[in-house]
Amino acid sequence: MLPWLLAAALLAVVVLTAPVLGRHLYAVFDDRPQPAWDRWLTPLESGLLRWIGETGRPADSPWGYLLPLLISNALFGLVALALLVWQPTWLNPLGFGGLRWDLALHTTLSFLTNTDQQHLIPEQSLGNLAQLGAMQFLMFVSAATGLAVGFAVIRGFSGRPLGNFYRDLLRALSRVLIPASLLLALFLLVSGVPMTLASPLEITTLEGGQQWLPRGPIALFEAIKQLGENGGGFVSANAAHPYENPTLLTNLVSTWAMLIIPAATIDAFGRFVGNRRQSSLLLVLVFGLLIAGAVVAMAAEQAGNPLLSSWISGGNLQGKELRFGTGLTGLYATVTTGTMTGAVNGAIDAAMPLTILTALFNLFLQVVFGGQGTGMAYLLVFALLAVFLTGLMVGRTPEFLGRKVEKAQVVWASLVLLIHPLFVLIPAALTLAGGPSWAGISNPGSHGISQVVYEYASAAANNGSGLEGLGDGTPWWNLSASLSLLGGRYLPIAALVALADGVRRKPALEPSPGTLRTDTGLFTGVTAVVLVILGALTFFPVLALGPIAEALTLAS
Amino acid sequence: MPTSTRVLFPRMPRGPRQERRYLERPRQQGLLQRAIVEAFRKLDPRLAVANPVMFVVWCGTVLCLALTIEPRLLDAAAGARERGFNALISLTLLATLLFANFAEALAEGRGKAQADALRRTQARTQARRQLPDGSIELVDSSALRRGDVVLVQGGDVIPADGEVIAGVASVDESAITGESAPVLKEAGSDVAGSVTGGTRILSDQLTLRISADPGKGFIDRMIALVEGAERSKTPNEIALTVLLAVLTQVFLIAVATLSPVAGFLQKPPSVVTLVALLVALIPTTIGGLLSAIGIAGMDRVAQFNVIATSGRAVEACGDVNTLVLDKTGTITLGNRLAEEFLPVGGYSSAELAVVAYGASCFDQTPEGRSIVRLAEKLGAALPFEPASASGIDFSARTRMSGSDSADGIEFRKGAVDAIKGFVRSRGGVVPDQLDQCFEQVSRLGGTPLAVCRGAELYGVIYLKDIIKPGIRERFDQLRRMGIRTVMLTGDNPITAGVIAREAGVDDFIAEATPEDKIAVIQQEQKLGKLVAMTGDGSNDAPALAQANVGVAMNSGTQAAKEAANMVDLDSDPTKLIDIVTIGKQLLITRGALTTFSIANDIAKYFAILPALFAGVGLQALNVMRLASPQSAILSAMVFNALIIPALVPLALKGVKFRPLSAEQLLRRNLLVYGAGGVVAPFIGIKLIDLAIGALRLI
Amino acid sequence: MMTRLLHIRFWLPLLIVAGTLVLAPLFRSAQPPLQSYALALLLCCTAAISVYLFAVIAQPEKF
Repeated sequence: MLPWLLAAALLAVVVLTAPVLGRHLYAVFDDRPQPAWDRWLTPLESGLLRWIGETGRPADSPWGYLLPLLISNALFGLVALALLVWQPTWLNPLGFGGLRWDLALHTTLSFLTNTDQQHLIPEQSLGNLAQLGAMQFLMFVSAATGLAVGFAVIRGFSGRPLGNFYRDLLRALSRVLIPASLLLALFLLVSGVPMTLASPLEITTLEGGQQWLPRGPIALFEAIKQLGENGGGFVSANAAHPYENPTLLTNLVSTWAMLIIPAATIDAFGRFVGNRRQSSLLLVLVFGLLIAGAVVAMAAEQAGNPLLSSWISGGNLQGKELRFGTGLTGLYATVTTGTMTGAVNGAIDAAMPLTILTALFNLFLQVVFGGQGTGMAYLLVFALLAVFLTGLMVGRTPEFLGRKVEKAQVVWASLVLLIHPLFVLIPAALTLAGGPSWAGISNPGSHGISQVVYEYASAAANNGSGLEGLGDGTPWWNLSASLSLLGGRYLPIAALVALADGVRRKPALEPSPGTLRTDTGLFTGVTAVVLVILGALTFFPVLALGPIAEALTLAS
Repeated sequence: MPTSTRVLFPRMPRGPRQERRYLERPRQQGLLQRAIVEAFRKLDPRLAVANPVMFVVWCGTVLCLALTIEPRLLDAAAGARERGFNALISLTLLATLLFANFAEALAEGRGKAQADALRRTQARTQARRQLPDGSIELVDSSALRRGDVVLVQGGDVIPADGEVIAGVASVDESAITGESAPVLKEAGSDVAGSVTGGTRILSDQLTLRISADPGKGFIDRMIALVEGAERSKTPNEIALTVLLAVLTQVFLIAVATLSPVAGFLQKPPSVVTLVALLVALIPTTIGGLLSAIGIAGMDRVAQFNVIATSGRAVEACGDVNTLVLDKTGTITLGNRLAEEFLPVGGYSSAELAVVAYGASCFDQTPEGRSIVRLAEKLGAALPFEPASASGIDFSARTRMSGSDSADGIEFRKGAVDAIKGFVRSRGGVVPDQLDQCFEQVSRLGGTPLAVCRGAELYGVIYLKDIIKPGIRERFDQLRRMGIRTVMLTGDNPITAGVIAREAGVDDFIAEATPEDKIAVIQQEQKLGKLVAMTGDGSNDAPALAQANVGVAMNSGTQAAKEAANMVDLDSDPTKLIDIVTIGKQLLITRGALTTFSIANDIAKYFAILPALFAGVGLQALNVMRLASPQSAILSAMVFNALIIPALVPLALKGVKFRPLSAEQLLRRNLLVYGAGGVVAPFIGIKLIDLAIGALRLI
Repeated sequence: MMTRLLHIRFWLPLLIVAGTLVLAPLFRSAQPPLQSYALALLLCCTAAISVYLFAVIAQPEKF
């Protein structure tokens, strides 16, 4: 019972805190009057913008927003890649060498795309400089890039100019991510998470053996990992490691931290379009999907494997931290896959098939809060498609937020639907065609299919978690996953910005009794059904062969 | 041959809506035969490629046919006994294609039949062309060019569209309007000044200036339109095509990648079953019916005796936010009748009647004639010799008309303030009583016309306006559809307000000039609204062109017809409301069938997937308890094929439109086509499965 | 437009044939020659349909 109460309390806290942060996000990204505490940042920001030769004027075309995004992201990536390939000895107490090129490329792209899929064991391959200068740096800027895109899209849908990417990036960092991460890091520090540049601790275990305990600047790393929906661990055990997630309280706060910015973004959207009813209903929709997933996963984990129930009681304990228990691990798995964080506090690979099904479904939908900023944009895309599909049925060219949905909008919105089949199903099919031994798949049956599909889905959805029984450190995995990472990040971003730019140029119409209102319970239900059908229909075959077949086999 | 074309466009029948038949249907059997032949002709890949969804089915059919001929083509281990199953799947796929083609051909068929009949009126004729030096030469009608001058005489077929520049004649226009009564055509008249090629002059002689090059005339455009030759996709159709192509692409990838994924479990499905899965998933129902819906929509408009220049215009009708309507002829019966004389300034009714008679004796408008009739009823006689007097025509500028008698006395009637101005300019005084009469008439919703004799004001004529019966209900419907109506009238604000209230329009512009029309339209468009309007006069042309949907009356001028994107052959302005309904129906039908098509996929998954991967442990998903894997797949395919002809009547007739609010409409249609689309295939596939079992097909 | 179409008509079959020849050996291990060519051809044609659908998505007006 306790896990369910804690989960309910946690979601209640998210609901209560989202409007507070939502108001702040609205102020930051719509240039509203600032609170006193961050007013002093303004000269700093304008100074920095002047330094890179930026005027800060809003872009007047999608390219005007996308080009700076691509250039800056390429630069960030190159810096990080260089640090990983030539790992210097400075701040590198164990003297790790540079990474193999394909691993370095995959790791860089993975952190650059806000995915943080790790095909390496960080504590055995990265020094503190690489962790700070490459990994943590990318965590901040990739989350800021996502937020910038999210708010550019929101601005477009509310009829405002798209904005200026550099300015958005800077403000996302200075007024949202850095202050919030510092606060959260302080809390984690107090809870016992290390924040040091010292070398790993060498201890003697109770059995008398020698053990190295990896330490480092974990508290801040952990904070941005959760808040920025990055999910890459300082250590490979991720949030199951006591140094990353020491107590039940830090576990709950980390779960809250994954949800809060995306939830606040939806709230801010309502303030942008001046219709908080709309944003509240979207929040209800997303929370509904999250809760449905969480219930499935938590119940599945608490019930455990029926074939083992005569020997083991207490649910599916394989791959769990007993500090968190089965229920809260199920919740964490749902939230981490829903929000595209990808941090884990237990092994998803060892979870029940229904939990894996939930996780995969979240990865396919990408809107159960979804990525930092981009999740909100995806939600708008699905709402747009729902409007288009059902709006025709009221006998009018469909309108969303007072703007007509026409060919260009449908093209851009549906391109987003194509990303996953292209970057998940095709590489997964190629990999599976190669056979288990070639691809390093550790399970021959349906679970093997889940492992492969999950890996690419996680990459393309920019999530980062994985069914880690997979031997994914090979060049094939690194390179093919890199493609999915890039395709799953920049193609949708381009389509989203183009979509938003097209929408903002349309005249806004006053609603009449003949227009389909989108801020009603009926339409929210329709959106949910469209979401589930469009998401489920595409992936039902692979889900059936993977987790569903596994679950049915277990049940029978 | 007027008799053969009369059936095409009979005058719109009156009476209760459901009892009206707009078109004598072309013989059903001929249409069906033609459609069946066309359905096979459309299997040509060069034609099939135009429809992305059905082209994928086409490719799948070819593949399955190849695998029927040689089942071991793709898998050496396959047995020859799979040939029977492959043949059955190929047949259902072929049937799917043919049904879709048939639907389109059926929709096109009616238009083609109409076009053929119209073409018969285009017999080549000889025309008498007048050369600049005045001499006449005989030329073939196809040699006439815009700007040529021709002479036509009684019995001739008019060789091309033109404007009358001299003469008066009666013309039989039944070829295009279906109206058998001849129409009077004369030079200089706004409405009666244009003639259409292909119509027949019955008597007398006309001199015409040709206004259209060969092949560009009104009948040519009509042929092209009903035939669908100029049919291009409408914006909504294009957007829908994109979405359908994306869904097809998604499913193509999902199915194509399934083979290696299932191969990992050592259970690769056969290629024919994968093709079956693909065809079941891609939205064939809407893909097959999409173009038929559009063509049928145009056809329905034509059945209302309205010629639309493009499907785009019909579709735009569904989106209209504001309807700009003239009061006269649309909201009220065209003829205002004089009801009463209200004298002022101490004159008697009889005196007023005499002056009114004098002011109206040259006025041939229905109003004018009704004034004369009323005056005669009151025993008034004409105060002057009509032969020696001269008539003063009404103009929008002066807003009055009348007559000048031989002794120079000016009899005038017109808008009250216009007459006031006239009287003052002649040095007269305006009695205060006039304003009371004016208000009295206005409050009754009538039009007050002031009457004067030189500088003396005699009183006011009360012209009674009769609001068309049933118009209020139609405006209520429009309001529920979210369409605002704006009434334009030359009346004073009080009268306009009364009429507007009684008719139930949302807004009105009183004392409107032609420029006001354009201003109103532009103002609405600035707010992003789509505006529809009707018009007939040549001064309506700019407004018709400015409006998103402009409907010109066939009785109107050539300029108005050119500027409009629809021409109503019956010249009935209220038809705009019907066209709006058709436009909405078109969109609703597309949306409903798309929703239905996608919702069907759920059941098809549950039918095909467990059958496809028999040994993987998915038996629990076989919720329909279908007999065998092969029968399950075949049932889904048969359902997929049969649903197309089952929905053809719906696609051609359109989903019934009810004037409800968007929310109610959505709820209704979602329930019928969304929930229905989920449930129907579960039942259908199960029934077909039982039938297949009973017939021992597999 | 016509030259463009001719262009596609020219290179698409070429691509399918070339692709078939390149891909056929991949299936050699499991299937005899005829079947491996047929499978490779199927793969290429599927890819071609996919390209066609992308063309429809990009320029729906032309279809």
